[in-house]
Amino acid sequence: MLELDEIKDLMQALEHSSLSRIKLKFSDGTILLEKNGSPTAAALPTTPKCEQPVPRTLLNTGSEKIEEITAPMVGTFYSSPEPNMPSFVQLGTKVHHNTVVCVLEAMKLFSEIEAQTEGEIVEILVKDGDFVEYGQPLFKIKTY
Amino acid sequence: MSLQIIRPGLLTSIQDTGRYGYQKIGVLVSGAMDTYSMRLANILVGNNENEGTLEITLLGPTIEFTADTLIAVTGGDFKPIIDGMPVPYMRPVAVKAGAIMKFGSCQIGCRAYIAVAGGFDINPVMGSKSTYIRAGIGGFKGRALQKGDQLNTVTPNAFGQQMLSQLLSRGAQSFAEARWYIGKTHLSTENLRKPIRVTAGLHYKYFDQQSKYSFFSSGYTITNNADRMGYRLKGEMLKTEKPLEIISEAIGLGTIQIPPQGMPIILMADHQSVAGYPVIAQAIAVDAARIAQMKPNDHIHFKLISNEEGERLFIEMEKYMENIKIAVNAKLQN
Amino acid sequence: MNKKTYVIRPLGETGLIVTFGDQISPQIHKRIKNLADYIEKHPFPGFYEYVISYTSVAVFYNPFVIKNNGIATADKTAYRTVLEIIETYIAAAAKLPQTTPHTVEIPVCYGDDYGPDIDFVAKHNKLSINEVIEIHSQKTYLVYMIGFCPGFPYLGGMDTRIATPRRAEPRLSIPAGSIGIAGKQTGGYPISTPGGWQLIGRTPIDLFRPESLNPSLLHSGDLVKFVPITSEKYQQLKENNP
Repeated sequence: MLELDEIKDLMQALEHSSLSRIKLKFSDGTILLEKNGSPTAAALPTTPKCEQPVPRTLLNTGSEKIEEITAPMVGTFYSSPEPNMPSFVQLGTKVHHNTVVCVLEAMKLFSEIEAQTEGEIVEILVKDGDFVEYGQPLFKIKTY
Repeated sequence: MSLQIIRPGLLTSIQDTGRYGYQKIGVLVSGAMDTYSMRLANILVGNNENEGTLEITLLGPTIEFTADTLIAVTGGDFKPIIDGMPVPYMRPVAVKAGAIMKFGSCQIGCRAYIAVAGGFDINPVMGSKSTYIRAGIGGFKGRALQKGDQLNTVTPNAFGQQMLSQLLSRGAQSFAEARWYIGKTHLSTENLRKPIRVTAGLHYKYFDQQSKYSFFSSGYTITNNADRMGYRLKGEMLKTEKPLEIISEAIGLGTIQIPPQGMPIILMADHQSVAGYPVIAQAIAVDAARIAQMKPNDHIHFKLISNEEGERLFIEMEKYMENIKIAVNAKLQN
Repeated sequence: MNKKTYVIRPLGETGLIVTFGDQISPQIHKRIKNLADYIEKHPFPGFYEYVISYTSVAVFYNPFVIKNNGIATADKTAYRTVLEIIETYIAAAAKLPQTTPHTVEIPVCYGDDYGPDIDFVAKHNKLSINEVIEIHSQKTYLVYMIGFCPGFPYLGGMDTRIATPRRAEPRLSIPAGSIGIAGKQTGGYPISTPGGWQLIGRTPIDLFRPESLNPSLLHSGDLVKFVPITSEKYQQLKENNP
C-alpha cells in the first residue's frame, strides 16, 4: 500500500482538485478518500505546507503524455541550489519520481521539489527568482 | 546513550551560546565560535537555540549513533557521510541506530556544529553547557571529546519526536533528511569573501597614520597560531604614534589588539576578560562568526564601519534568526 | 553642576566601557565597585554582564533586545539607550551609603616545598625569610579585580620591600593554591597553570569551586589577609577540605 506521505499527497491533491472522491485498489487493500464534509479532508491542516507536487496531465496521445509539475506552495523559484551552480535540471533532462527539479524559497527556507513523475523535461515555464503561486505550472514533462 | 565517539577529530567539544555573568570571577564566556551556525543547528531540531551542540574543528570526528536520533549539521563543510552517502547540511536529518557518521576535513570554513534533538544530557555549570577547556569547566567532563566517550541525549520535545518518526517512516536505510533546508547565510561563498567589518577600537586614534592606512588596505594572513582563544595575524606592522601606557581594560569577542611586535591578534570565544595592549578595532559580532570559519593561511581584510552601522547589522541578523525560527517551527509543527 | 568624572565609550556594537580615571587607586576602585553593585541589583533587559578592571567597568548587552523591548525609543540607538541607563546608574550609585568591604582570611604555609622561591625573594630584597613572611602577612590587600583564570585575584597594596621580578623561566605547571609575587603584585593561583610568578607559599583552601553556587572565594572589592600556618595545619586543613 501507500506510505503515509503519499496518502497525504493524495489528500492534498484531492482537496485542490474538482474531484470529490478517489478510490485506489491495491493487492493488500483499498484506500478511499472523500471530500465535501468527509472528516479526513476537514482534518487537513489549513496552514500552507510544502508537500511534493502532483503532476497534472495536459495531453494524452496514446503512449506519450505531457504532464506539468506545479508548485506545491508559494515561494521564489530557484533552478539551482546556489547562484553560479549548475541547474538541477535542463531541457532534455530525464527525471525520475524523486529527482529534485528546483527549490522554492519561502520564509527563508528552501524546499526541494521532486518531479513525482518519470519523463523528460520539455519546457521550463518560470525563471530564476520568479515568485510562484500555489499550483502554478513550473515544468512540462513528456512521459512515456 | 545515543552517541559514541569513535574518532574525536582535531578538536570536538560541547558549546552553546556561552557562559555569561561570570567574567567578574575570571570565568571566560567560551561558547560556540560561530554562534549563528550553532543556533541554527538547534533551531532545526526544535531545540532551544542555546542548547549545547558539538563544535568540530578542521578535521571532523567519527560518531556512532546508538539510538535513532534527529540531528542537524551547520557551519563549515566537512563532507560528512553515513554508509558512503553524503549527509546534507542545514536541515533536520533522522539518523538510525547503528549508523556511523564520518566527517572529513573541512573543505569550506573551519568549524561545524552538530545539534541533536533534545540536547546532550549534561549538567550546565554556571548556567552553560559550554566547555572551558583550559579550566576544565563545563561540557563533557570539562574537556574535548575523546575516543570512546559516550554521550547521552535528552528525549526530544514533541516537534523533534514527530520529525524523527516522520522522516524514519520513509523507510530509510541509515538516515533520512527533510526535503527542506535553510539557505546559505553568513557563510555563503559570496559572504565569506567580503571584508571583516570592524568599528574603531578604544585606542584607534593613537595609531600612526601609516598604521591606520595599512590596517585597512594591506590585508593580513591568519597564522597557524589561531585557536578558540584568538587568531594571530601577519602582515604590515602596526604601531601607535607614541608608546601607550595602558592599564588592563575589558576586551570582548572580536577585539583586535596590537602587541608590541606590531602584529594584530583577534580575540575569539575563549578570550580573557581584560588585556593591556592597544586596541585598534573591534570586529562586529556578525563578522566574528565569519572569522570563526577562517583557518590558518586564509587572508583577511578589514573594513571600518560606524558603530551605528554595526548595531544595525547586529539587529538585522537577529531579525533574520527570528524569522528562521518562526519558519522552522511552522515546518516542524506541520 | 558637577563636571563629569568619567568617560563612556563604545566597546564594539555590543558593549560600552565606563572609565573613572587613569590611576590604580582604592578611590577609583570604590566608584567602579559601586556602579558594578548597582548594575548587579538592577539588571536591565538585554544586559549580558559587566567586567571590572582597575579603572573601568565594561557593560555588555544585546542591541536587538534593547531595541525591541520598549526601553529604546525609535530614534535612539541601543548604545545611546544603554549609555543613558548607565549614566542614571552612576548618579544613583554615588548616592548609596558606603558598605563595609568583606574581609577574607587566607591561611598560607610559607616556604619549603610550598613556596620554593621564597629564598630568592628574600635574597633579592636583602631580607630574611621570616621578614618576607612578616611583611607579606601584615598587609591587608584590596581585590581590584578577578581575571587571568577563574578566581585569580589582582591584589593591590603589597609592600614594595618584597617586590621581586618574575622568574626568567616560567614554570610549566604551578600547583593550585600557590601564592606568589610578580613585580609589585601578589596573588594566588586557584587552578594549576603555567606561570612565571615567584612562589612564596601555598594555601590549603580552594580559591575556586566551579560546581558551587558561589564558585569564587574572592570578589572584586574584598579585602584579603594572609595568615601564616604551619605545614601540620596545612595538612589538617587540606584534609578537611577535600
